[in-house]
Amino acid sequence: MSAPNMAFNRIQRELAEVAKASDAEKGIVSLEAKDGRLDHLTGVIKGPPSSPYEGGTYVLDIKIPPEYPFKPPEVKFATKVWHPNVSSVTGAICLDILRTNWAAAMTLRTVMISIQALLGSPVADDPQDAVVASQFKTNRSLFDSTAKYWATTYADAPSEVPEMKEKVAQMVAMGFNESDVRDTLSWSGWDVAKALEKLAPE
Amino acid sequence: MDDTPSTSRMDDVNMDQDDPDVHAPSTSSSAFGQAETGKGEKDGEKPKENLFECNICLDSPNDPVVSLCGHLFCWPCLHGWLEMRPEGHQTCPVCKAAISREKAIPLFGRHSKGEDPRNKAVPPRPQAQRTEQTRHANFNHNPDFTPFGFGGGNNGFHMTVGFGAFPFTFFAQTFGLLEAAPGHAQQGLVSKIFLWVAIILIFALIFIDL
Ligand SMILES: [Zn+2]
Ligand SMILES: [Zn+2]
Repeated sequence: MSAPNMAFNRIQRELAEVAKASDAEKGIVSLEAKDGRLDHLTGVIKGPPSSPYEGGTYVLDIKIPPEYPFKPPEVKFATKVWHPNVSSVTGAICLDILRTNWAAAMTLRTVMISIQALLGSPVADDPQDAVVASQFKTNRSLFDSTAKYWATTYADAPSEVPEMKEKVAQMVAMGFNESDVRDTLSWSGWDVAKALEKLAPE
Repeated sequence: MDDTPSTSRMDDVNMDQDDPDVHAPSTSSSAFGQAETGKGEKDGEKPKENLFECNICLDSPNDPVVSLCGHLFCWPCLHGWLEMRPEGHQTCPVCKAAISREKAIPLFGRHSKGEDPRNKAVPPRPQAQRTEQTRHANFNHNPDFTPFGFGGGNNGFHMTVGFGAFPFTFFAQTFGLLEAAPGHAQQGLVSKIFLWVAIILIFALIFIDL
């Protein structure tokens, strides 16, 4: 059996397994092939309870290398997320099992559970996003509310963060692009003056 | 990379995947561990399917081997995994225990007799480690074929061609006094050759005596 065939057979088993398992309560919403292609999947997980991501729905972009399961899947967040171990720009995830600690017996289901666990317990000493990680270490409450604001804005989490919403609205009224404003304010620790400097130098 | 926190996460996940029936893997550290218990009924439906699946391809194993830590794989699957890792850093894909080609034990089921994986295109399984005592119970193959005869032990089972004891051994085999080991193609061929040589000898002896 050729390697890609083995990867596809396994992915098919994994899809069936996730579909029949009662994982919904655990936070795995779905795992589906993208446009019927078995090398590009979409996973959906829930933000873990008692975290700033609670109630949010997060889409994962999953690419299957031909050497799967001997090599790990390439997984990143398609939904924007404010988290020390996830790039706030690209959605890239820093998680050991997706790199050196991958093992062929792991499945996409276990990967999704691990990513959900990572959302619930960030590892600031092994950051993917330096800005977010330093905020997580130095100003935890600002980190929490920024993460919550992003969850509300991008992941349909129900909680509201009115002060942040207001600051964004204020700068959008000045003619800036809304998503640029959100990013820049977040990266500037919600200091409007600093954000203005970055968005409109001089 | 700091792998302390994430490794513990991974272990939880692995235990769950490994044998869901045994551990309700108290994922106490994470907030969603409690949901894990709902899995039991699902597994109860098809217990046999779940118990003996290869841990890599998730299918029923083909040329099964088991690691010393007890994890089941197809030999081609495990071989593929071992190939990805430098020797000395090979770990079990399930539990991360040290593992190597030498430490994988092949499993021979009732119907696996005729399928010697070493003759296949896939990488060969490691050989089973057999001891002298279990030898005559294993008719599968006899790689340590010796040209000099030795008795197979108590039950008169004979492992070799019997050059040494010729012609007695030959007669014994021919007349069924000693049982030849089944599955020895070479032995059968050699026996036939000796059969003819012996017949000629017998005739020669008879005519010389006369
Ligand atoms: Zn296999
Ligand atoms: Zn193991």
